[in-house]
Amino acid sequence: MSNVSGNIFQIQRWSIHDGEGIRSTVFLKGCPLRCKWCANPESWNNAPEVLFFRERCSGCGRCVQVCSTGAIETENGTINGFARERCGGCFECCTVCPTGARKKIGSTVTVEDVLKVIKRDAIFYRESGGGVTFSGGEPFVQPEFLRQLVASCSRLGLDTAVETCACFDWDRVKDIFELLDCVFVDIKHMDDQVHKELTGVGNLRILENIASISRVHPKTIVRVPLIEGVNAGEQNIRKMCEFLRQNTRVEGVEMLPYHDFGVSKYKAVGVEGQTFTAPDADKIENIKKIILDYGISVLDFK
Amino acid sequence: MSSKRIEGLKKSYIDSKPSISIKRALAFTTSHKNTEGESVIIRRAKAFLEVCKSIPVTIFDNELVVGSTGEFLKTGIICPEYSWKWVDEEMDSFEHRKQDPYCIDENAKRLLRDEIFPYWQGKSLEETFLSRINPETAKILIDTGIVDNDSKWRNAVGEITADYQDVIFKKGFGGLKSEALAHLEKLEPITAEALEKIDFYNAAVLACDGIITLARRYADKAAELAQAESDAVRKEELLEIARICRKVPEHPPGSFYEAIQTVWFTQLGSILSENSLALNLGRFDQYMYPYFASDTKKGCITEEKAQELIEALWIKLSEWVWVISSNTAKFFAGYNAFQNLTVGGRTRDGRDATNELSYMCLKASEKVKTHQPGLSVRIHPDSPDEFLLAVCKLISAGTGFPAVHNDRIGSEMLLAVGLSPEDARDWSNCGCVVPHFRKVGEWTSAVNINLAAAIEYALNEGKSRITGQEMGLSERPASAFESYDEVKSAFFKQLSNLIKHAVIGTITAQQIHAEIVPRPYLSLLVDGCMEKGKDLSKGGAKYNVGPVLTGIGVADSANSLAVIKKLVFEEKRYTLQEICKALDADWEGYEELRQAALACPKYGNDNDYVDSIALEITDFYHKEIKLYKDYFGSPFNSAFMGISNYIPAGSVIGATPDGRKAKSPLTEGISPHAGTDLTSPTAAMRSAAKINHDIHSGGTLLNLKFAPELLKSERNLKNLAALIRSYFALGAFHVQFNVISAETLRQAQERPEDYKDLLVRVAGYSTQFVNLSREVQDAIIERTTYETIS
Repeated sequence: MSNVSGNIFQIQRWSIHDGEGIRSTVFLKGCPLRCKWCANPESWNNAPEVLFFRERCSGCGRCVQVCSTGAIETENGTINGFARERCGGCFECCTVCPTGARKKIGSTVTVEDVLKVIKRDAIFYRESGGGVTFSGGEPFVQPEFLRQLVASCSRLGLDTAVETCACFDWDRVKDIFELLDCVFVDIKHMDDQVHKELTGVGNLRILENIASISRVHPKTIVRVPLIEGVNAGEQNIRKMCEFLRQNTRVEGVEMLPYHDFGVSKYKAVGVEGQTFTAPDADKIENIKKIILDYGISVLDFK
Repeated sequence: MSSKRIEGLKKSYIDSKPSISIKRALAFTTSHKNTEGESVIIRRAKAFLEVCKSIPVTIFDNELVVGSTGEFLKTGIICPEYSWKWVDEEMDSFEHRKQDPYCIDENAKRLLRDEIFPYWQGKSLEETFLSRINPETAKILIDTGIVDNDSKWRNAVGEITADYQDVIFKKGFGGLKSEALAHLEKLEPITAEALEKIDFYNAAVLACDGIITLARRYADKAAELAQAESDAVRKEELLEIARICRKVPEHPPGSFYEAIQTVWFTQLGSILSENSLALNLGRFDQYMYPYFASDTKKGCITEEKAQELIEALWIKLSEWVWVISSNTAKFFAGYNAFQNLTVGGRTRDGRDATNELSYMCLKASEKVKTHQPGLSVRIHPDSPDEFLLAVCKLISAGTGFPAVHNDRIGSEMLLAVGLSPEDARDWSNCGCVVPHFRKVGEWTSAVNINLAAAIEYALNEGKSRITGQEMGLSERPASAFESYDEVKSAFFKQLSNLIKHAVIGTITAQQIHAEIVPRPYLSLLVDGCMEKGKDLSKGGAKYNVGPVLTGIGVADSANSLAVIKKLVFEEKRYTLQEICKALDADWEGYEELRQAALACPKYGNDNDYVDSIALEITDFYHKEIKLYKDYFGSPFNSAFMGISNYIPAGSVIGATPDGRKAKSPLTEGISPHAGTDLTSPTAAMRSAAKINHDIHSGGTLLNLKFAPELLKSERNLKNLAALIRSYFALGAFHVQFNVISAETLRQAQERPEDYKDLLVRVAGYSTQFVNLSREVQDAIIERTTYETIS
């Protein structure tokens, strides 16, 4: 079991908004979606990669010297760019960078490696009713790794939760849901076409999976990233509520108003970012009322 | 909201300026002029009696609890018998200094200069100590910030907890006086020991007369005011005050109200006798409870009335002002007198002791928001969840209170110094974070020892990197070290030398204290002195516990050694000489090396590489200290505590290998160095819990910073409670949470590198403040400010 390995980009200890109690959140790398508002664009790519924060670069040139594939572009002695496609993934440039402008994101680790970190805070999970949350990226992109992680935690008596976009082949992963204690699943938009425009994939399979999850899992919570002008309109919210009433028995809905922490990271992964805004407090209050009117609970983990 | 009365008292308290009263100094000095030739303890008792007879008796509008150290609402008093030169030098600027100013009138200054100070010339504790301390120790001990015990020769000791349970509430000062007289009946001056005892008991009688006289003067004053009072309700109140002050503290109290007034008079006596820090109130919820329960049962007090009396006492405790030099005020800003009051915990037979008063004390601190008393709670596995949640709620209010202590570790620390199991369970907190017991005589904060100095001297042939002066042992240069173990041994050798000088400074001070500043009044409050006929300063308490030597800069030292171990001896990326050159240059021109040093493992991240070094340092410190015994033969004790001493301690140390710049602050207690615990509070706690708390009987301190956002909801408070319970389950002793103010957040914007660890919650999750954009930061600051006012 312990020799199964996978790619993660962070283990955040003392995570207190991703489920009950004090938790550790393991962020797995790789995601089938490309949501335009994503707060963790460094999670998209499955493999470890180099983040380049141009504003921190002092132009010392150390990275150029160690790069064997010529991925770092210079012009008149200054670092000009990073040809990601040529990067061989040796990460030497990150080791020698004195200013933190080049940072390796992600690492390949075994189940055992992850458990070692998780176990350090076991006493805090016990006292708080917390545990471990698997997030991403999309954790189900690495099903075997996730399966082993969840199974190992269960064997240790640790509570487990997962945060997923539900874009997966249900039959290949449904056994994992039997081991999990709590499921957070996203609904980004109810319209298949709009969903595709915003995230790169349609929502048919996602909605189907949400229904399947909620059939087997009593503790399923739907999360909605609330973005002004994108999905916060009354019509979309009503459609979501109707879907949930007719097809699922979810425990409730948690609203996550958009924030722009991810913006600075877009450039660093070499992608053009876009900013959005969150609905104002009145609008959020109104959305909450609509959801409650459908007899669906509104939860929060703040 | 507190009652209208309390709101009014609070307002006048906030609006009044601290002012110096010289009445105490004048009476104390006049008495000494008239008692030349008598024994020291008698002279000091007579001076105390004279103070009680002559200081102004003032009852302020609407007060329920009465008694003041002088004529002003916020009075500071001067005790020239301990030290006076700094007052002479600084009093002309008292009014205008930035930190902790005091008002003082010209007439008072004249009297001090003409009548008072000349008398103490050559006689004060300060002058005596400076003339006696051996020069070799003096070089490193006197105003250097390296080994520092000036609070033990410029000030009185304080550091006692009055025994209300078995002494004051049981006997009253009238009873104590009778006891002293009974001893005197049986004594004849036919042995040296008997002579000493006769002096002690005569002094005890005088001290009892003193506090009883003061109370009676308040009774007279209240009666006089009652007569002139036109408001019928207030008239009744004043008559009741007069009745109570005629009864207590001479006789044991019979009601909650009487008990509160007894506590304040007892405290007032302590302040007037020596104006010192850490005159603790002990387990207030325990000794007050019988009165609360019986009054409630009889129907003669409501919970509102009891709450009002508690809050009135809180204001009284905050009114008197500790007068300190401008230099000291930088480190003890805010007129803090460290009067610690403890609630919660276990009973003497080990059951949960939390009661209604425990909650009411938390409520009082939340409502009146005074800086005194220093509120501490004891938490054990069976402490009610409701109580811990109430504690967390008070923490979230952002006053810095209460300090949260692990009940069981406190007991273990006291068992280790020889207390009986029952007494060890009955501990309360002293001053900062020292587990203490009311029948103990102990210098709970004897010396501060600068651990970073030992790092500096080990790498710099015993010389200060800032002044170049030889302060430590002159040993071989850094270039001669061939292994990490050699560096470590050199550090330990320098540290042992500092500890030795701390011991010399302490026992010299202890000898002088016993000789020239015995404590006749305080000896009444601590069990054992009366029975033995021996003053507190001579070892009269039931238990004598060895003085506490506090180490400052655990994190800085461990981080520094980790850098040397990793960069020089393991990775061989730099030589020790290169590091020393960088330190000499305060890292100027060595940015790459500094970045490499900063990237090394730092204590506070649950990283065993460096945490094990912190453990090794603290264990060594403990073993080394235990080699020495104090003036009474008690082994010294180790501690890692102190709220603000890490700032002056840092100001005298050059750059250190951990990447710290010259003169910048070190680290308090066993906390991670500011800005270096980047992993999580759980990781910081796990690092701190790796230290063997139970052996450091002088206490350990962990300070964690939280943004108010993280403590807002019920869910967050529950998680905070779980964090505390987990930390204690790991065997740690104390934790304090500082809720970050908007002011601090602004500083973090200006100096992000000092605040890298500052976590804030913005929208769905928590993140490091310094990593946010300026706009988001501003938004958080705005919100924080809003929350502070609302």
